[in-house]
Amino acid sequence: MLAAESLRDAVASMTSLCKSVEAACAWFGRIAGWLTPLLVVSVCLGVLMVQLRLNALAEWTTPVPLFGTHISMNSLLDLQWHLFAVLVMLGGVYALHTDAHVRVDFIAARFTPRTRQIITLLGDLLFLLPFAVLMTWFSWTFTMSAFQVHEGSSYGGLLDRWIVKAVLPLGFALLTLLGAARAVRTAIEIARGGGDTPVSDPER
Amino acid sequence: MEYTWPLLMAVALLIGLFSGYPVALVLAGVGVIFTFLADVPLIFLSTGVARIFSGILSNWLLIAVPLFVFMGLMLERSGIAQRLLRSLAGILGPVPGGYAFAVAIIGIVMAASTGIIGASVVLMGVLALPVMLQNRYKPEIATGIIAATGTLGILIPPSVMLVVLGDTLRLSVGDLFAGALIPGLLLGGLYIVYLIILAIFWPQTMPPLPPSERAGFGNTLLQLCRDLLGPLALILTVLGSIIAGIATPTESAALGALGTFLLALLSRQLSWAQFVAVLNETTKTTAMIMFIMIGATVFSVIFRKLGGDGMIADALGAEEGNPYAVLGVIMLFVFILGMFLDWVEITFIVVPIVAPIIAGLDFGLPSEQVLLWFAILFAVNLQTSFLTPPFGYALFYIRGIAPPELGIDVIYRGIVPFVVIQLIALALTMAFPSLALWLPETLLGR
Repeated sequence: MLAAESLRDAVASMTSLCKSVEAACAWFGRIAGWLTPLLVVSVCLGVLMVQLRLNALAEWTTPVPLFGTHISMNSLLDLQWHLFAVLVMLGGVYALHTDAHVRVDFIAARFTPRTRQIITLLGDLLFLLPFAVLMTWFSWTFTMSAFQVHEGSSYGGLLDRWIVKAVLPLGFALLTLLGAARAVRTAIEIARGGGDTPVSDPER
Repeated sequence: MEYTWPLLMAVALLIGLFSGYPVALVLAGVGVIFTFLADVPLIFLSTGVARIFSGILSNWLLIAVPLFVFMGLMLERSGIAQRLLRSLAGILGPVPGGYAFAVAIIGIVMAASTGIIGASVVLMGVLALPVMLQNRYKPEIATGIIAATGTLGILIPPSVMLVVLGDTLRLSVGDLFAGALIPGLLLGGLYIVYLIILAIFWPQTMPPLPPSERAGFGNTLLQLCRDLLGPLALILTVLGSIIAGIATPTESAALGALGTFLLALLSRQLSWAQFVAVLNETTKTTAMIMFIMIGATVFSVIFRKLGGDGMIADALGAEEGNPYAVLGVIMLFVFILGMFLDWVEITFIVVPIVAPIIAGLDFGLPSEQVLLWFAILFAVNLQTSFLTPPFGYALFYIRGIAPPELGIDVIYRGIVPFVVIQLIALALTMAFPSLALWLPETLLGR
């Protein structure tokens, strides 16, 4: 009796733990939304600089990470795709959390909620997790080698390529974490036999 | 069996897709699973990482995608479509079918203003559908015209779809925009011709609206001109600067994004919460498109390693067949795929596989022009993917906002003439490549 109750408590706290992990992962994506206005401004600024034939926006003497000692037209161009890379990788995590990734659901719409939960669990285990884990690993070595050789722009743009490359392992690690938490939560829901709560947590 | 692995991979992909699990992750997951099943060296997956970084994340052209998405969402919230509809309907409403013309014209104008859907099916459905039904428009026509013109934004340049196609096919986006302009306007024009035929021969299907008492004709005309200023300025800056070659697609998208943001501010309808919602929506849509690209990258690295491209080339009979037959088969295949998938998936799965085949076919044109013509055909064809039952996005959106007594069968019936019109536009562009090639040649000297 007592064992059953404490088991129920453990399961309930597991579910809420999973939910907080999922929400924490998606938080990064919500932040990524604010990169869009920055992107708009930086591209427009670039257009303006070309029109005014400006090359350097700012110069200083003490080198700082990423920028070195100046912000030139080329640093601005690099900055634009840096922002885009972050937007895509963190946004992907957010899109998974809010169920914004395209699904072909004209057959799946006829499945029972329980069948759909089982598909989500199988998909997370077979498709998402192996992909996300492997990509985290490979992109980690990809980033580390950029760090070790101090890779940077060869045309006066941004330095420290590893910083933007690091968004790959970060994004894939967050996907792994989100996928694992969701898989555990879905498995619990399937085992409980409750089929009425939707698997994902759309905000809308 | 030479093609056992790629065939199994295609089957696994189909099962995964139809299970309803997110497409991007199915693509990537199937790639990873077959790496292990077919014992492909893991180095192929790690080159996938390098490709994702260099081909997608650091791809300056693709920055245009979030900018166009942001611009489209902002434009929708600027209230421009609402005001245009009010003034256009004031002028055209009292003629039979006039309200439908207004809807079609707004669809075309908004499509040319932005790179994604500007006056979305949902927006036009909410605004125009109740008015049309109330005035005893035939429901099939009302839903059909809203779905068909509401999705033109993806074909008529500027267009996110053409940016993505240009990147995949390594074509200049300026050429693609110029090339798609005539076929896109042709399609919109054919919709209007169809409406005119209906209005002349079956006027009872589209009764005139009672004339509005509030404003006189002159005032409404003045109002219309004022309402058109915003979209015209956008068309000139965004589309004009790209086609004239003054700005890159990314630059003009950013200028357009800034412009629509200012228009939305001017309309005083933009709240802080709406702005944040637009940002979140931009992130989600951009990530959705780019993750399908990431998934397709992983899938195709492994699919090619296992001989999948050879399998497709053999299946199409590309070696000895008639080039028009090969093109026709590909177009038919894309049309059928469009019944189930939408443009993002089809573009990223099909284009990389068929592009080398197409480039090698002999149509009596240089291969650069063949690819450009093919891209435009592909884009016109993909336009149908929004509308073809059973799975067309536009149809589901309409279903979501239509009154419950209007069944899905009415919506399906209503879309048929418009899909036929799209196929006519596709056939015309196939028969006369100059529809796609003349403008880029004349404007850009190619």
